[in-house]
Amino acid sequence: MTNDSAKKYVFDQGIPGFEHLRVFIFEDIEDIGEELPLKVMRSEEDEHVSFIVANPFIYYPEYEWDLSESAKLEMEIETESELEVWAIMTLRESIQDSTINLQAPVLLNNANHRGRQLILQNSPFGTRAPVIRP
Amino acid sequence: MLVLSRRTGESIVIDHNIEIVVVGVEGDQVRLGIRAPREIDIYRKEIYEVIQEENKKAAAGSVTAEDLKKLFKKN
Repeated sequence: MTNDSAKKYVFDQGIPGFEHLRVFIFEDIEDIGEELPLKVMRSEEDEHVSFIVANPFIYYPEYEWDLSESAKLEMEIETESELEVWAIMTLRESIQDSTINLQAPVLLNNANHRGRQLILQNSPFGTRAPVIRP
Repeated sequence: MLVLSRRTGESIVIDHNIEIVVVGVEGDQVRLGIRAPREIDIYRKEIYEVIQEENKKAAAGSVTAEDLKKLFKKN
């Protein structure tokens, strides 16, 4: 499955739990029926590994954090306007039980196509923020 | 594993540029100070493990566009 909007990013360190996977493709979900702020994050190296990622600011407009120096250096970030932020979703039986990981956002740098999953030390939002807010 | 004894105020150096200082000891809690280059990431191990686990859980299901549609429709 390919589509024009698919973009490839290199994750130098992989992501936690999948440290050996270095290349992920981000693509739109076709035929979703309605406009959902979601994409598929799919490993290029292992076809069995893929994630649904969501735009965290749609669900949590107040979501924010400071970009660490180590992330800026590793991803060679010069301008923040080239950045995209996504949050990995954990889907369960119903959408009410599904969560997004706001403690470890996925950062993409469109200037050089590097990606990285950050780990926020002190995030009030946690790894399992409900998609449907209580 | 290398095991060393250190007193409060003493430190160890790793690879010339990372220093870990024992700042204080209170009961079974040890306070550590870490001096490292800014490109070095430092986490509490539990946080890293929680993220690893959540990523594995998130990847477990092979979700199709069809599933997603159903999931969001029920809402």
